Amino acid sequence: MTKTSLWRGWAARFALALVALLALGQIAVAQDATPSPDGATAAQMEGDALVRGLDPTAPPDGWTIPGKVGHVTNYLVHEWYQNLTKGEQARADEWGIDFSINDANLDLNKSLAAVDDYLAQNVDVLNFTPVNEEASGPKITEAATTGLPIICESSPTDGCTTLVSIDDYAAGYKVGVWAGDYVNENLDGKAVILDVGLPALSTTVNRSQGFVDGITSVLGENATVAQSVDGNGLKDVAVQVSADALTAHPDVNVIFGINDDSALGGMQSYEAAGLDMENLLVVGFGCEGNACKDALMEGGPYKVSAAMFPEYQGRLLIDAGVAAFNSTELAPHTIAPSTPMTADNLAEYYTKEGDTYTPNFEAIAAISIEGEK
Amino acid sequence: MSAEQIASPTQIERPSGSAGSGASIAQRLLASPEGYLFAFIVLVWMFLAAKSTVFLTERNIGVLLSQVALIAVTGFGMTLLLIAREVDLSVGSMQAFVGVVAMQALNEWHYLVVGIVVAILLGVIVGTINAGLTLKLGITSFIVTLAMMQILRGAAYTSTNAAVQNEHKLSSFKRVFNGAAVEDPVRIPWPVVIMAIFFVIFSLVLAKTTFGRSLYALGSNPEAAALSGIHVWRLKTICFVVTSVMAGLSAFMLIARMNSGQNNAGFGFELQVIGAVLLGGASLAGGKGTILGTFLATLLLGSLNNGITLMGYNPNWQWAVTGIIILVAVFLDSIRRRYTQES
Repeated sequence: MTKTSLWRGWAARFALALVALLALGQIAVAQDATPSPDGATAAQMEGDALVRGLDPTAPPDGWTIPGKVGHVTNYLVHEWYQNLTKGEQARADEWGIDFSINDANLDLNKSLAAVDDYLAQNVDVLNFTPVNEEASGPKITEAATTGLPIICESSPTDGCTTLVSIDDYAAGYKVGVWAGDYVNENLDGKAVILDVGLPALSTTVNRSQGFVDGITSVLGENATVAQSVDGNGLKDVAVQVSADALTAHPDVNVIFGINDDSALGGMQSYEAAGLDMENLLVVGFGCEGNACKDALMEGGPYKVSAAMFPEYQGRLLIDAGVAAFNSTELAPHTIAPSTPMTADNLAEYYTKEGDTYTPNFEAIAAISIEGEK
Repeated sequence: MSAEQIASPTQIERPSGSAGSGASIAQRLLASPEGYLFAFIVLVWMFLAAKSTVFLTERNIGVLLSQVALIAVTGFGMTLLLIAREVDLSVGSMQAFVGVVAMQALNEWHYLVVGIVVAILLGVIVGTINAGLTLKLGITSFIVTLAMMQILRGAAYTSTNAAVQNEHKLSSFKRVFNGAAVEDPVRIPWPVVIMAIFFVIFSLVLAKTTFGRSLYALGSNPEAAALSGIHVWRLKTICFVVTSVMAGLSAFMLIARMNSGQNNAGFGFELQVIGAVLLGGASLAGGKGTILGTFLATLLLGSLNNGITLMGYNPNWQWAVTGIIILVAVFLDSIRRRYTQES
């Protein structure tokens, strides 16, 4: 082989690698795409309003109630999905729907096979939480060609009738503004932030970005991100990476976590490092379980969390499915409410009986989603 | 033929003639896996100290050693098991299962000692089952403990829908991970002290007792060991139980660190432990490995993980870098062995 042909071979490989990198970049950009309500038609907006006002005891005239609804979840062992499916089950019972769950446990292949299983079982509505939104697109698009209403949860996926989820960026922004005000009043107006994030998911990246933009909108240059670490959304990992980051940045006084475990893990590391808990603000996200709610009520540094109300989202998923089954046109994104939840307003949204927090659906439904997308 | 005659750690681990009296300090250092790892750690620490001003601070070293303790404590047990030609993949799920059960026990009875006893008891039970299935039924420990890993993870998920929070509020509990055993002249956290105690015990047991020598003999040549009167079944059972008990204690330190029992804790923990033990000089073929080697390997991997976060790199590199370091270290070690054998 001559030198020239060798060079040509390497040049071709380099070009191929470049094309592959550009393609990956496109996928990454596509993953960040969030459905915009701007594209929603008047009929879709009307459908959206109808879904939010549905009452199982008085369905609209002429409606048929779906017999079977199945949900392919991606990680049922997580408390979020347990409470979400609890909400779905309760709402399905109110409608008289046979509801079932098939969990993929973060296995994409299992997730796609579960879709096939539900198609074979002739479910009337499929609820779907993708393990990987890009990779699930072709299967969901194919399933949608049968006319099956597919209600997606959490992340946008091609082929979905609608996506039921919060606006992660807006929720992060709102809680960021709350944190900015708190820092102004209690921490001398200066925030040094540790972001315990999860960069692998577009939704969690949006949460972190929304938070940083929100707190910066209040504090301006007095808000700085000391470090962003990847806690994988798991408490044990969050504790470890936060411990390392806090040794490098002991001046951190605001910890933001993309979920309860990340925020609580960061707080645990802060305490373990012997730093002053009086000068710390912990901001969480989700507040799906008792750990967050108890932490809010304890009066420690965990002051606020962007509440996502999984039980209410479960209701929305079922109601959106019932509406879609009856040919109601739905917006591409059915926005679920979220709000900064604190010790002061927790009782407005949840009633505590013993160790159980029961959601107050009316109060949650009244949370404004104006301007969110 | 006694166990001492079959093999000793010295005979198995250190090829003769590699570091004679005239050899330089560097040659002596590089003549053993431990010396080799030590040199590697010095290089890594020098690099990290140059890159991060906080790396060599007292606080960071305390954090680093505390994190290393979780893996090292389990790794000491795993070293015995690998020397005996067995392996335990269930130690990661033990972090979750023991964690949630021990935290529930603490919430119920409000005594630190109850939680510790529960963690140890669960370790004894799991280790005994692993040993029984492996040795009585003749199923390889890889398969038995793989199944146990799944069973324990499932048990952790089904025993609690969410993390088990700390409701007992025992002040002594928090000190298990976050407290300092010594404050002056330097702060030494409890996990470091616990690790040091087990380091000494395990090192002495392996190097100075008949049990240790028998274990090396068993791992090097099970048939010969059995013929020489070594109780293979008993030795291996002890190794399984000790490994599970150490995993249980490590799980207890983990829940003290997290202040909750997480049913999703410990994913990939078994690979970190086994990787460290192999990097420390042990072999899946048995008969090799030392506690010092395991500790140094754990410290090396922990330093890299710590450094990656300190320097602000994507922490996902921790996985890749760990794998690369294991490969590079094993490769260089094989060159070292060839060199020392030739010389």
